[in-house]
This record gives sequence, structure tokens and C-alpha cells, in this order.
Amino acid sequence: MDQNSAPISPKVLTEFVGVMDKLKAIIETENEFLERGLPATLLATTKRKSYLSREYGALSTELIDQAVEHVMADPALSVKLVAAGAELQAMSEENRQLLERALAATKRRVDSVMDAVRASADALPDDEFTFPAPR
Amino acid sequence: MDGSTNQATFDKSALKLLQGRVACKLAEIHQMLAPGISAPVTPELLQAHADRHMASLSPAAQERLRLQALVAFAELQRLSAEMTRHLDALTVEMNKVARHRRAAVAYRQVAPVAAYGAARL
Repeated sequence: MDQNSAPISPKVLTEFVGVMDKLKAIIETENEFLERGLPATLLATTKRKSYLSREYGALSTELIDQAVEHVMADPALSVKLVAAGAELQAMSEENRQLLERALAATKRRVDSVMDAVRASADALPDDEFTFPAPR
Repeated sequence: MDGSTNQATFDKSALKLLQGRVACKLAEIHQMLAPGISAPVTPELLQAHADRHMASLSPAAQERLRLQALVAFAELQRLSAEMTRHLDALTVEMNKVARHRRAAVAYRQVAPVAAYGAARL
């Protein structure tokens, strides 16, 4: 959402819109990486996403407490916030689907690696595991 | 769940449910602002329909609608905030599994050697 497009006056609104934009940007980046099959790259954005999610939650509460009347008094602003909320919802839905897919694929890979480890241990000759007889 | 913590454990069904509830709340607000117009529409189109709808109402009905929208908007924000926390927990879970994978790959490289060495002891 373009911060200059609406007459936002309370500070909490400006901050809320800013955090929402950053959160959407991070989810968009994650979705691009996940679509390219690079789930490991999420390590770089996780901390930032956690921080922004916390901020978004806190600012949502502040927005409801302090500025919801202001938002509702400005029809253009409320429509823009609802549209931005819809965009965030759609992006997060895509994010969830991609993450769940990547999660399942990565778990399968871990299982296959561990199966290979077990198979190679089983393939060692039996006498390698025989303890020498006491003298 | 309060807003001070982000340590929501990942719950696949809870996140899916929350995303559904956010979508329903958005649809409800759309219908409130511009009845008959189904999402997704551009903000400009929604705005134009909302203006027309508001202008067609009496001042008392406008005030009632404004209050309804206020409650729905507050609920939307609360649900969205909860949704983002659950989404974050899913990302954390993904990273945990990615680390397990790296550890498993590293273990695979050393495991046969370690097993052989142990057998020689």
C-alpha cells in the first residue's frame, strides 16, 4: 500500500501500514524462493519475519484501540486498508501452501538420507562387528 | 493468544482455519461496504461502489453501517495478526527441518567411517 496515497494522521496508522508493507515484501520474497525450490534460503529472512509478525500483532492491537474510528471515518483509507489486508491474506495463503510443500519434501529427504545411513551400516561385513575372543 | 509473544507452535489446521476466517471476514466487509460486489475487486472499484452504497443510505443507517464496519475491521485485524504469528511459526518449523536435513547429510558422510572405526575397537 502506498503510504502517500491516504491522509494518514495518527502515528500508529503510519507505522501499521509500514509494517504491513514490509511483511508483505518478506512473504513475497519467501514465496519466490520457495517457488524456485530454495527453502534453505528462508534462514536469512526468518528473524525479520518473526520481528515483523510481532510488530504487526502489536500495531494491530494499537490500531484497534487508538485509530479504528479514524480509519472508519475515512472511507478511502478503510477501503485501502481492507484491500491491503486482502493482499496480505492471499500472499500468506500462498506462503502457507509453499511452506507446507517444502516442509514435506525436506522431511522426505531427511528420511531418505537416514535410510541410506542405515543401509550402509547394515552393509558392513558381519565380522567387522565381531569382538575378539578373550585370551 | 496475546500480541507479546511470537512463539506460536505450528499448527497446520489452525493456520488454515485462521486464513479461512480472514478470507470470510474480508468477504463480509466487502459485502458490508459494497453489497453485491464480490471480491476480488480493485480498491478503486470497491471505493466507488462503497461511496454509492453509503450515499443511498439514511444518516441513521450510515451510522449503523459505520459501526458494523468498525467492529468487523477490528475483528479482521485481530485475525490477521494471529494468522501472521502462525505463519511465522510455520517458517520456523521449516528452518528446523532444513537444519535437520543438513545435519543428516553431514552425518551420512561420516557415519560409515564412524561405524567402521567403532567395529575395529
